[in-house]
Amino acid sequence: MRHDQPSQKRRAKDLGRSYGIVFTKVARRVHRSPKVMKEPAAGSVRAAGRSPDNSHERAVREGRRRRRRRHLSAYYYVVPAVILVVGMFWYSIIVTIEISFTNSNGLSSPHFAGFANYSAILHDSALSTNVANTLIWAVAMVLLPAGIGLIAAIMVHGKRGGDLFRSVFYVPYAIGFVTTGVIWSFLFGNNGLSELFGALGLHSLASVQWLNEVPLNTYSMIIASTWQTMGVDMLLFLVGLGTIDRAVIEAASLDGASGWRMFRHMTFPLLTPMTRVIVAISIVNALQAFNIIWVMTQGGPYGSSSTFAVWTYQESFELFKMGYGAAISVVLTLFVLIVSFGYLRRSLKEATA
Amino acid sequence: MMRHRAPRLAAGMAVCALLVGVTSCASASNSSGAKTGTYLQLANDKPTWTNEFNAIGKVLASGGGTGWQSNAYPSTTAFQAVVRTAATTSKAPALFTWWSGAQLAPLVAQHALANLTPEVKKWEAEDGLSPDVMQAYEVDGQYYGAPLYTSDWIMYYNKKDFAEHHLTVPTTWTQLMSDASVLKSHGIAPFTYYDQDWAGFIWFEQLLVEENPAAYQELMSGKISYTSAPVVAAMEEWRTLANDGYFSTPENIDTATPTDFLNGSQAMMLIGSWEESVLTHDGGVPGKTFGAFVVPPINPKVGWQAIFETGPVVVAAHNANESDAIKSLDTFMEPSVQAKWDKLQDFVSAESKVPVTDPTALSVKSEVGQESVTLHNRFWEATPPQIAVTVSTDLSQFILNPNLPLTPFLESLQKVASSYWSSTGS
Repeated sequence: MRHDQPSQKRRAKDLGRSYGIVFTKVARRVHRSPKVMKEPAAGSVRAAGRSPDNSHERAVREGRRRRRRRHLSAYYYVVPAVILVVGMFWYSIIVTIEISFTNSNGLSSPHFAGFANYSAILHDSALSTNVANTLIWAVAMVLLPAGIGLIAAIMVHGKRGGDLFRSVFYVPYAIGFVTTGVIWSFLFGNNGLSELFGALGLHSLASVQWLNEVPLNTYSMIIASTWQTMGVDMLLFLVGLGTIDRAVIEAASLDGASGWRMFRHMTFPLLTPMTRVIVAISIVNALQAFNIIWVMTQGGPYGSSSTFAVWTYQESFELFKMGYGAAISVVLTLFVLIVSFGYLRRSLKEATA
Repeated sequence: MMRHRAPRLAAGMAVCALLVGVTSCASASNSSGAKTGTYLQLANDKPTWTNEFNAIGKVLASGGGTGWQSNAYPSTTAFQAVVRTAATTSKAPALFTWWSGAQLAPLVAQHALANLTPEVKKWEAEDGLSPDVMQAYEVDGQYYGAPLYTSDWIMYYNKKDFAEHHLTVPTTWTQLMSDASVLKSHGIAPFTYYDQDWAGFIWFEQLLVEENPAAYQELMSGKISYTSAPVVAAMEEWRTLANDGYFSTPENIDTATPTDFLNGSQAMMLIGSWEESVLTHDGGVPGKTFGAFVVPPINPKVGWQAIFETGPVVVAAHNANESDAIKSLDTFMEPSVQAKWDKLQDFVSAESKVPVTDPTALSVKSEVGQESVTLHNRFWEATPPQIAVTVSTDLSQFILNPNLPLTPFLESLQKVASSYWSSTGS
């Protein structure tokens, strides 16, 4: 059993350049507790020099073969998922890229159009609004849910009644985005918060049109989306806080660290792996913001709260310009890939530095 | 060794189970147009109508006819995507619901729909099918659909508000305006107002039709421009109404509930008659809490005008069961079957031979009396979707700021329209 651990670590590395790297690094950190004894790497026996007879090397090769057979059976479990991912995911991507170079409208046979769709994106008057809104969503949805989630996690961690607070903060996420959108549409409508503010005598607040004024409508939807997703981030941070070694924290408090200094110099750096995961996921999700926007304003009024994902949907399924919509989605995907790749690359470099 | 085979066996079984699951899913999906007994699949995007579709489908199948079986898609987008890709192939559903007006044209251009002109002529002659309504299903002089439902856009009014302030149902535009100003002076918002999603065209089409119905038709087909005089006049009338404060604060039409209308803080609601089921569901009683009237014309010379919307059942031309599907439509349009359909749905049939039983429709009819109401297909279907969608969303700008400079605004709308009309060469 103990011989498996080094090979597990090696196999994790072999997964190569994928987002799996972040998760395996988290796994390794989580498992690095004083109770697990460090095992010598399997190859180090060879490095130490040949043994007098090949018995040890034969034993090592036997062990490797046995492990490979066990690993092979593991691949059987992976194959169905791979088929699904390749079939549904990669096939759709390739077809979408194909469509983006045509003038397809979903009905008549498409004709090749070269880069016409892509140049049309650059000349579309809606481009600047969509870029601005997408960036606002990206920045806000990375900072706000993670920030509030972190504060909530620290306040809840280890306290009595922590379970209750965990449920309270998690419920918004459990109810799903459509319900969230409907609830907040009501609150931001004429009969929601406006009536409450009116009853409290705050008439200037009561007359605010939360979903009609630009850019207030985007910020209102960000409030709704933060309310929903902060629960997940809080739970993840609680997991991260739970893996911090108590001995380290105690040592720091013995040295006189407490409160803000403890957080800044001990807790937050130790949470870095979890923070990286959360930020990476948040970036990818935020750049594709669609669900809440579609339920609350459909990108309106007059396209003022539209993001790239909403734009793609409207062009493809409301205006039936499928080639153009596909081109917009390809541009969005490229942007998401570049940003997340850049972020992960930088953060992994820092992790291994 | 036993320990090694067990995981492999389990893995193999998992793969098998997945493959079985996938293939059974594929075969369980409805094969469109396949005849099971004497029923044809009616593909639609109205899952809430499934029971009614199946009930009327059984009526159609009785007596040896061809019945309908509802095949509902939960989202309009998915439904449209499926139909558009399958429409020109033999996999097209035998019958499906669609949209009228300019939304039929792309399917017709691809020869995806059966030509129903001989049947329509028969229904008009024998069953009193309204030629006004059928205008919505005409492409190049031929008809391609049978009306599944027809809804008029009428003005619902809160009876309590009207009674309290001694107002009667207006029969002229001047009376409607004076009613509105009385209500406004008592702190009641005269008209409900919506601005999100597709709601931008509601007042635009109504005001244009009440002022100059011929101009409305020409604008829909691209013969006149958004910057032409009749459109400018309608927009200025709209601006006057907004500046006089006759509209409530705009809401999202998809998520708003008619609470304020039913409790009287908003007095009148310009909406399609399909909203009535929402009003009754939310506690309104037709004839007691609310009533309805046709909006009187701004220009009395043009007579009574109304916007209507209608949705068809169409027959796929490439489906093997095309002739059976047309026969089932023929049965559907018989007055006795139409009466049953209306009863199931609280609809009003487009055929004059079918007696009207809905109380609101009856009261609207009595208001108009012997005069006829000219019907116009609503903006959303009357003009191509590439124009309708963009212009509707742009009109929200006007709703939120009715005092914006009108000429550049209308020019931007015309840009959208002309880029479509010039690209199709019509």
